[in-house]
Amino acid sequence: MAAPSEYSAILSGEARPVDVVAIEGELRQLWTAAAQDAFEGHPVVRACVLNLVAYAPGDDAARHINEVLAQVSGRHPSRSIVIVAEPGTGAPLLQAAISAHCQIAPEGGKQVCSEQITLRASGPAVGELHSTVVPLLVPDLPVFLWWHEEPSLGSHLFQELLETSDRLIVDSADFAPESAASSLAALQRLAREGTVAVSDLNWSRLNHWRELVAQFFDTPPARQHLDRLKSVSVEVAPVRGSEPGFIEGLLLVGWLASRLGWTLEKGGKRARDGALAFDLRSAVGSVHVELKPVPGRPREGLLSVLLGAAGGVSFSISRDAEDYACVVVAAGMRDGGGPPRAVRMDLPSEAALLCEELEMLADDSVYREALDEAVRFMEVGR
Amino acid sequence: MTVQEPVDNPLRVGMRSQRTPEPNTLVIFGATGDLTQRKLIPALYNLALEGLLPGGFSVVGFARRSKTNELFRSEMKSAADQHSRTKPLQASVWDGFASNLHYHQSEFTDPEGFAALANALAKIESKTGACNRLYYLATPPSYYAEIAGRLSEAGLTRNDTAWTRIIVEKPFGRDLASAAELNRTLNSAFDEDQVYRIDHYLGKETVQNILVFRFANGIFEPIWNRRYIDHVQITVAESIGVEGRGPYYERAGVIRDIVQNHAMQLLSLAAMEPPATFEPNAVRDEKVKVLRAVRPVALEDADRFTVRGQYGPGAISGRKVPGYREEERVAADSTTETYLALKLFIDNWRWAGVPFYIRSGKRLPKPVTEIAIVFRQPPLSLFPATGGSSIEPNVLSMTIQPDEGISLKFGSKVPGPQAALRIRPVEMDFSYGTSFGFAAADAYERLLLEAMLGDSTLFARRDEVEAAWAFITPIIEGWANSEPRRFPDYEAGTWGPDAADEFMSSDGRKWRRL
Repeated sequence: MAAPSEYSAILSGEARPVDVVAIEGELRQLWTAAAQDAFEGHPVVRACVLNLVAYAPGDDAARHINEVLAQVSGRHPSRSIVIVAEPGTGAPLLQAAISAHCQIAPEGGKQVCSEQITLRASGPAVGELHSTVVPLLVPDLPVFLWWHEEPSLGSHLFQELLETSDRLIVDSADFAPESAASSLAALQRLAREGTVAVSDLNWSRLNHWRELVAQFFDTPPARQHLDRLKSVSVEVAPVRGSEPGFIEGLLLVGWLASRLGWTLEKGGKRARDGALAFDLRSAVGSVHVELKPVPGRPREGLLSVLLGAAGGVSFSISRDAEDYACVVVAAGMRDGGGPPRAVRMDLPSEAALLCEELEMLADDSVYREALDEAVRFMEVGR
Repeated sequence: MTVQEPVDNPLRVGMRSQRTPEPNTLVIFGATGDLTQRKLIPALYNLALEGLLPGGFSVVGFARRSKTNELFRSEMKSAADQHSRTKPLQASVWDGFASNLHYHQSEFTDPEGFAALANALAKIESKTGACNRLYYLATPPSYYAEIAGRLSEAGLTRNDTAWTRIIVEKPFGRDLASAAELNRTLNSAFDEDQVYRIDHYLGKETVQNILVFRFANGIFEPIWNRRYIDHVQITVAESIGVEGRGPYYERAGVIRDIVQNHAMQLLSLAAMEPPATFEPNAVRDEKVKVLRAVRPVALEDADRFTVRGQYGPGAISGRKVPGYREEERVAADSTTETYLALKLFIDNWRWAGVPFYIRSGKRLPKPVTEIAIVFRQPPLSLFPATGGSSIEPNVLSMTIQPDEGISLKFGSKVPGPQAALRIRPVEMDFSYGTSFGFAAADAYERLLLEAMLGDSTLFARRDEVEAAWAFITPIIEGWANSEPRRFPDYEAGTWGPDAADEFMSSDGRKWRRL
């Protein structure tokens, strides 16, 4: 059993190596000891509302995941199991460590703690990791699998973990350009099979954009223009280096196409400006869709969305050049719509996006249908 | 047209957030007052910040003092700066919001002022295209009837093509007759479904969770009745005094300030039957049924079913505080009650014979609001009483504030030899702050948005208010026949007068120690 000073170190976020077979016992002792003694003057409460299994392909990813989990734990106290896998290297090795993320609750002054188990495996031991993970899951709580690289459908570990999970979370912004189309298609297959619900953080990045687009058509005078949209223009920032973050834009237009019943007719990459351009058909006519790459800082996501409808009517949302935490929302209709207004839209952190997805338990059929369309766009746009 | 029919917007399918209201103009009467500055403008700014206000939303501040739009905007900015839950103000959001803030100077009694308001609204609406109107009466209640009447005279209470609604702040009358009169006046200008009586308690997340807790979980409802429940305690305790509102409080007392509205709302949510649907009127129908089933207290029994108290000097959190009679603008021989303990019965099949105890007071040791369901003891005790005390009953407590959560108390064996078996109560806690680690939106933000969306579930309906007054009024009238003799009778910083403890102990029960 560890000394009291060691428990304080664990509650401060330090990882303490433990025997793999003794993980549960060590955690039990940790919380028993912590409950008897306040930590930094605040009573300690261990809380857990879900299991979060995070896969890290290497140490850099593991460090990043640790940082994100520290931020997420305040909102979604959980048992996190971080898997650091290095399949190709050396002899079979399996190590475990326990740590905790503690935060003072908004009211009541309690120290609310989430526990984290880190499993490090290399060589052939990676293939057997699931047999260590499964018994560590807290019974009867949902299991989220956060796969921090492109999903590898052929991987034994991925398949085994998927079987015990309720929801898979990936980030298609991390997909490499050369494999993005096949990875997106693989995600689509998983989502369609329905054995596990699928979340894409790139889709969550669109939540606020989609909300503002939908808002335009909540009122009777504006609603009529939704059926008469003729053009959609989306500006996208680079996802890394100068490579445009098209997937986020494709998910947005995929969402519009799936919700509004548009069918893709033709499209492709324009040589002169590198834009993706598509022609679609709605119930009343043609709709031209463009995704334009524009310079910007990597990971800024979408920069603007402009919807054009018959009669010169337009709806636009664009990042405010003077206040980047805001977007300017404007509806240009003859019968009102009000003056442009600024709305806060921070670039969401990865932790914020993950928090959103951890609230979702059911299958997101709207995402699934948007993904179907995005995959079609991607195939045509290649 | 008073209810916003949701537009069939295919982009809303599966959306994780709620729809935004239709474009509208909010007219705040009493726009220079405390409520506007502390609550309404900060709430509206935060709604704008989150993008929850529609394009074409404007505010018209209506008040008696003369000032320009610019001065009004600057005062409102200071108010938002000081009282917004999100700080600092986001300049571009505030600027956009402020450009739609307008000031209208008029007396509340001046017909010309209301005619000018009609013109001002028409001018704003011609620019925004928004003809929906929401009036907010943030004035002393004595102006409610006047304003409603003037709005009606100016033709501002109805519109064939857009909705018009009015939000009224409590108090809704000071007894049954005045509440009914106020309702008659409001309803002569507005249909009942246009009237939104705001009780900010209902905007609190945990108050709304009472219904979710009761009706979304299968295990509680079967034991939520007279067969398993011994009694219910509802506590609304404040540690603050009258905070400079002496003249108001002198006329109100705790019975009008808290019990008639907040406590009776908590009572009806805790005791109501499951509604047929989660629609506004279905929920409110059930709440009204409970209030109507509360057994009336005869005038002569007022003192038998209640204990009144008034605080004297004492200390709160180590700081000396004056007694009620020493408070600013309070009569030196005031007989206004600052504490009330009340016992009532709900005469229906679910609750027959189960007493509900309500206590509320000012200058109690700490601010806490909770509903505690105290269950019956097992029919036969297998275990001997130990340490001179009997086994404590199970208690399910729902804390509304400040540390929102739900807790279940039950007995557990203290580790040790079987021969010296000891049982001690332990608590199983659910805390909002622990399980959902983020701050909920302010109650006013929630309620303003609900009113704009036309969802009146969280607002009090006329019959609800009148049913609560129908129970409370005879108590007030009964008290008039027997002036309290020993005020002040509790020290500030204590849990009320000794008589309140005797009130419980004479029933073989005791107040929960909070």
